[in-house]
Order: sequence, then C-alpha cells, then structure tokens
Amino acid sequence: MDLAELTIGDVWLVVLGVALLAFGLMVAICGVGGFNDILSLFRTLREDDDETASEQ
Amino acid sequence: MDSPVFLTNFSTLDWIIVIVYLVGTVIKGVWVNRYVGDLSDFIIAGRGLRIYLAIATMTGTEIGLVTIMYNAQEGFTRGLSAYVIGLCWLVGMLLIGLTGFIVYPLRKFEIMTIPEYYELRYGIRTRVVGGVILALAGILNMGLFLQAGARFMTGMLGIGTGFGLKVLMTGMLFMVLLYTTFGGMVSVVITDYVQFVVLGVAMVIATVWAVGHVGWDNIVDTAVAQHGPSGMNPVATDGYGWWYVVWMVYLAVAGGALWATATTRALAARSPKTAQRLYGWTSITFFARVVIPVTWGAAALAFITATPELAAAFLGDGPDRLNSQYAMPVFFARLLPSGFLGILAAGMMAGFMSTHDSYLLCWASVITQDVIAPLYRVGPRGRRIAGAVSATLGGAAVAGIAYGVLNLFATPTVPGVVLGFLAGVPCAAWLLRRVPQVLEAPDLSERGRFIITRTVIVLIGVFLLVWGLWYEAPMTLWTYMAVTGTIYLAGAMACIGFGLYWRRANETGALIALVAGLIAVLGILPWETWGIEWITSTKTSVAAIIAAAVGLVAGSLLFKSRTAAKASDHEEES
Repeated sequence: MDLAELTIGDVWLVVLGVALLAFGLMVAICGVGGFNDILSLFRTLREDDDETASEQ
Repeated sequence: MDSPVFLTNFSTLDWIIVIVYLVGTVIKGVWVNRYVGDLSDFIIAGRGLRIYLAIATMTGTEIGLVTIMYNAQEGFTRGLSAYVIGLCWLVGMLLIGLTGFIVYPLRKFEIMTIPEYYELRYGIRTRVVGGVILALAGILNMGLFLQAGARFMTGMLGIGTGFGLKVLMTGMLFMVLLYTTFGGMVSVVITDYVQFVVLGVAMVIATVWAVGHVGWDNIVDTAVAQHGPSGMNPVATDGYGWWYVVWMVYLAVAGGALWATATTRALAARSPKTAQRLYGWTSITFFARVVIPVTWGAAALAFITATPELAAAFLGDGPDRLNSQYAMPVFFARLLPSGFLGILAAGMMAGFMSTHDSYLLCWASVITQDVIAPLYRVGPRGRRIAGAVSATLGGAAVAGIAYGVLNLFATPTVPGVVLGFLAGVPCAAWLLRRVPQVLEAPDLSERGRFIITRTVIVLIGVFLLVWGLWYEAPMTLWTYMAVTGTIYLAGAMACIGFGLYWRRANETGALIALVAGLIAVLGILPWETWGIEWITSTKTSVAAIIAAAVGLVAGSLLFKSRTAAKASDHEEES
C-alpha cells in the first residue's frame, strides 16, 4: 500500500489497533504478575503486624 | 420503561452477575480491613506495592466508569479526532516514564501526599494553602462522577431519566462510602486489581464487537457527516484547535506526575525506580483509556444516526434533547447480548467504585494530613481555625443532606437548606467537643486522623450527591474534568516543578503560583449562556498555567526567601 494514499481514517484505525493490542497484552501480563504481588503484599502486612505484636 | 429510547438487553442473568460481583467486592473490602494496621497502611498500603500490582491498581483507578463516560462523550460529540487526547497522554506519560521527571525525585522524599512536599520545600503555610486548593480542585473534579455513573447505569438498565436516576445515585453513593470508610488503601488496591482484569478484558471484547457490528467505514463516514472535517482532524476549523492540544499535552505531563490519585500510587511504590517504571507502563493505559471509549462514542453516533427514534432523541434541536452522555450506554444496551452486558456493567460498576474510593480516600487524607493536622501544630489559634472550618463543613454537609432529600421528592429546597446549615454548624461543633483527643491534643493523634479522614469521606459523599443533582456542566464532561484539574495542576506544577529543579524558588513565589492557578475556575462558568463567548475554558486554563509559572518565578526573584531549605538538604543527602 502506498503511504501517500493513507487517509486520516486509516491512521486512526492503526492507532485503535495499537491501543487494543498494547492494552490487551498489558492486562494479560499484569493480571498474572499482579496476583503474585497481592499475595506478597498480604504477607508483608501480616509480618509487620506480627512484628508490632511481638515488640509490644 | 417510559421511552422507546431506553430499550435494553439487560436481563435477570445480568442482574445476578452485577449483584454477585458487587456484594463480593464489598465483603472483600471489609474483610481486607484486618490488614490495615496504621495510617500508612490506610493511605498508601504500607508503601508495599510491587510493579505489576502498582500498574494494575493505577490502571484500575484511572480507568473507571467516569473515564469511559467522558471519553465516549468526546467520541460522540467530536468524532474520532478525540483520539488526539489519547496521543497527548501517551506522549506525556512516556516522557515521565523515560526521564523520571518530577516522580523520581518526589518519591525519594518518602512523603504520603503532595502538600507534604510543599512544607518541606516552602513551609507550613504553602502546605495548608496548597492542601486547600488541591482538595477544592479534586472534590470539584469528582463532582460529576456520581451523575455520570448513574447516567450510565440508567442507560444500560433501560430505566430512563428522572426519579430512577436519583435513587440510583443515592444507592451507588451509599455503597461506595461503606466500602471506602472501612477498607482504606489496602482494599482499594485489591478492588482496583479485580476491576483492572475484568474491565480490561471486557473493554477489548466490547470494542471489537462494536466496530465489527457498526463497521469502521460507517464510523468514519458518520463522524465526517455529523461534524465535518473536524470529526477526523483535531486541528481543522471548528475542531479542538492547537491551543487545546497544547493544553492537553501540558495536562498529560502535569496530571500524570502530580494528579494526586495517580501520584499516590507512585508514592506507594516500593522504590523511586519502581515509581518511574510505573509511568512508562501506564502510558499504555492512559492512551487506551481515551482511544477505546472514544471509539465506542463514535460507534454509538453511527448507530444512533441510523436508528430514527434514537436520532430524534439525541440529535434533534428541541429542549428535550437527551444528554450526549447517554449515547454510549444506550448503544451498548441494544447491541450487546445478555450475559456479556452483565459482565461489562459489573466491571463498570467496579470501576466506578474503585475510582470513587481512590478519590475519596485521596482528598480526605489531603484535608486531614495537609490542612487540619498542620493547623493543629500551629497552636491554639490554628486549632480554632480548624474547629471553625470543621463546624462550617458540618453545617454544609447537613444542608447538603437536606437539599438531597428535598430534591428527591421535588419539594421547595431553599428554606430546608438554610435550616439544615443553621442546625448543622452547632451539631458539628458539639460533636467535635465530644472527641477530646481530637480537639485537645497538641498534635492530632493517629486515632483523631482516622476519625477525621472517615468523616471527611462521608462529607465529600454528601457534596457529590448535591452537586450531581444540581449542577449541569455547560461543556463536555471531559472539558469540565480538565478545567477543574487545571485549578490545582497549574499551581502545583509550578511549585513542584520549579521547587525540585530550581533552587531559588521560594515561599512567596509558591503562594502566588497556587493562587494564580485558581484563575482556571472561571472556565466552568456558563459564559456562553451569558453572551460572553470569547471567554472559553481553553483560554482560562492556559492563562492560569502561564500566570502560575510567571507568578512563581517573579515572586521568587522579587521577594526574599523566608523558608528553611529542608527539601534542598534532603536532596543533597540523597
């Protein structure tokens, strides 16, 4: 396809495609990684509580 | 169903999905409360956010029902040219992510809110003034959230406008308040994560569905037919224009770095490097959160144009013309099948809650930490000011409740509101007296701060209800958000940007910059209705930004610094 023939509608379609693809990938990656991070956050907060309790 | 406009595929199955999802979310929020040990856990989740969770939670906050509503409205009223706003955000956030501009040095200060930096750099007065302006802008900014959220749900559920809208607004507010006051930041983080996953998947599927059904060429042709060249080209005649684009780029950089709800995530990140990386990643979020809903709005326009009863309701010239915010939900209510509609509605409702809880928590903690607590440290005079402000706020809250209740039943409101205010002031003062640890301690105790933060959350909730019932923005929802955001960002960007990178910035300059930012508030007034068309929200916002920057530089150069350079010392140490 000749780039000179591109309309603004085509450019916006590419923008939409990029947005969907990038966003979809991010949801997948951070969905899995975020779950592990939640478990780790709870562990940290529980350890903090235990430390506070033992200090008291 | 009182109108053929509000038809929907929403069925019992969808209701079950939404109710199970929301009840589960509230139970989880209250359960997570057990992990909230101290105020740091409550406000910034004990500063324990790792990168993936930080991205998910920042995305969960920044992609909510309201974000989707205002961007879809832009797509409906401006066509695909509104994509340019998404591109501006992409550029702005990438800039921060690649350079660490503002965010990296700010995270090193180990602060909980932005006005804390004001105190470190400029002194306590700047912190209090900055806190007041931040809270004012932030609360005004979320003033239309409830209204927009309720409009979405009425469109999706097919219950139309009127009484149903008011009941929904009240019910949704109650749910959010219950959830936020109990859980704090830890529950916010978990809700944001769940919403991020559910809504993220639903958004991608709904976009493919909408574009596939309506057709890309049809969307483009309708945008041009309805809006002319400006439906595709943002800088064409009658389009956004270059000044608007400049304002958006500024807003993306300033808002990305300094909009308190986003910055809170950066301040809650494990390290300055994590905070910086967070911005690189979430540039995708800020880009997609505009582009995807704009597409929905533009697709809704094509769908509505081709459906005679909808075209008459949305595109007619009469006074009964429906608000363009209804376009996207009405479109999806007819297009999407039952089941998926429930998942999308549940995701949107979760988005609504996650945005609200983050915002409520953020502004309430600013009022507690940056306005009331510093005033207490000043001594008896500061405490008296804090008491007077609290009592007035209490009066305003009771007046607001009176207004909300009376408005619900369409009765005369003015005497009720006045009586409510007069009754509310002594009640609030009496209540304050009943909490001795709040009023008599030399500094605010942690328990006192908890009480105040949770009370302020409820007060803001009342404001949202009243403002949502009363105020109809004379502009699109996004422009309203951008203007109210600029009230704070103009001053904050000058204070923090210059404060971090220019040693001569001082307290006088900072105070001038913060007050100059208030010029932007002129942008939400209905100038066009008053026949003064040359004043636009773009002009007032750009004027506020320039005035704040010039004010800071001039004030710093012309007046001698009276502040201790604690922040500079901190920078040298680190």
